[in-house]
Amino acid sequence: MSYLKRREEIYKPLRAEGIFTWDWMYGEEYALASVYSISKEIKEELGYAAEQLGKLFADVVATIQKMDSQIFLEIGIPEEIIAAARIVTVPGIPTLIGRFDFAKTNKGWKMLEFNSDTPGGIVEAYYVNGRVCSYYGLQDPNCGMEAEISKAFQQIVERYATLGYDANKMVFSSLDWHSEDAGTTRYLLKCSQVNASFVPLQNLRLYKDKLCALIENQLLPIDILYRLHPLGVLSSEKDVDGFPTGAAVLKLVAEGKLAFVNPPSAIIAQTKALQALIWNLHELGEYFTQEQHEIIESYMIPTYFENPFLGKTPYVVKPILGREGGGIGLYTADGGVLTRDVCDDFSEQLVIYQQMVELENIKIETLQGMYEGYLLWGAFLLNGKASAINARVGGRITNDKSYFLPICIA
Amino acid sequence: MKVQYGKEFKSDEGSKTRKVVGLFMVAALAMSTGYYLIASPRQDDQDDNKDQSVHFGGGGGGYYNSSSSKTGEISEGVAPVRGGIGSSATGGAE
Repeated sequence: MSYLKRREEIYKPLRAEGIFTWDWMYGEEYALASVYSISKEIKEELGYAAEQLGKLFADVVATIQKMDSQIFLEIGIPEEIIAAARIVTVPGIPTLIGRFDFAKTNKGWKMLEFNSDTPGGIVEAYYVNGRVCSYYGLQDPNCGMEAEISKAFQQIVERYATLGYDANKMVFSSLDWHSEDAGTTRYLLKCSQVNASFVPLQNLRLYKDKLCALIENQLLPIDILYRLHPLGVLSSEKDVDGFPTGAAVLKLVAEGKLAFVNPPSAIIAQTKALQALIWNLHELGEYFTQEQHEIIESYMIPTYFENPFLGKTPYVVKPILGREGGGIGLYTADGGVLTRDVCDDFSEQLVIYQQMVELENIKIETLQGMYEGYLLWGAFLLNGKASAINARVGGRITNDKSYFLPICIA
Repeated sequence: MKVQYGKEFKSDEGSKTRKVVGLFMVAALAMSTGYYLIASPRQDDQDDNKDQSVHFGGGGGGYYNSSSSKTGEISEGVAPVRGGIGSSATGGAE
């Protein structure tokens, strides 16, 4: 059967269900009908690495939360977020649902970044991957993991209630016109099995000391907000007359009048400046236990605030709160541009310099024929535990145009 | 937590690295020895002079009839309803 026919047989029913509707994005194929086979060991290795790094990040985040504002500013946390980011929601976890991105290198798995604030790829990993495997009669490495989403959300709602928050009215929110964001948010709402509803971001309103959902001309106060909306973006958003609505909402969070999922501390784990801090502490032999140093040495990449690589080895420059590959540049040892994403959104941000690692190069069938690209692995961390994994294949810089590549256990 | 601040940097890191790592280590050391007063987030992060509830004139999401403390219809009234969330976003998932 042709690739086109198989692809339609897989994705047409998914589109019709309304759960995964973005198998095409920006007019191009996004979700592949090809499947990449992995061993059980790969799944276990990624899970182990994600869980260990999760604990490590949680440790550093918890320490930073207790420090004064200067360290927050130095690692690029906008001033409007700092007080909210100090809120300790669940000790020992850096976020509720996050995704570490890994490269498989000749020196083992290396973590490139931690998407702890607003990770995507959730529907693809937890739902679509299983459907593709099922179509081919293959084993889904993420089988049964949807149930973990429900547990995680219910636990964080209970946790907020235990902490004294009102936890009666929960809303899930994202841009409703963005198919991936809205689809991911609605999927999490369905999986969470909490009593909640979807409200588009543009229908959120601030009234006095409550965030409210504007529904049929009524303002309904919100206690807990799941937001697929980056804190860095929210912090700068204003009403049409210039009133800093985003900052005011974050103030409510800081005052305990509103709870966020992911928790606001996720921004500390999200900034790539944290990788530079951790790596430098590791190099100095400071702060961490021997076991933590070994985790850093095994899975992290040399990362700095200044560029020590020029003239020595190829390197990557990343804006600390960049997203979807935006603003990332890959350079040769002598500073020549290998490839660079030109994105003005992140041009004002502090950057970090990271030693470049080669991603696996694979060939895979697509609608355009055989495609040769670079493979990037994602390992979800859910409520502090290793969870689903996913794969994307694209250019040297993985971005929102990279393919979603279903995976199976060999 | 193992803290023994004072070692020299191995390589020629510049001021940013020294500043961030230095800040972290000094604070971590102080915390580990119990001589660290955690700044109150309210005092430290929120400028008391910034009244974020100040009502600017002009646009906004409308006005809310404050006769009910929880819900009510939007109409001419006393307290502004603020919007603007999601106005600058082009997508959040990454």
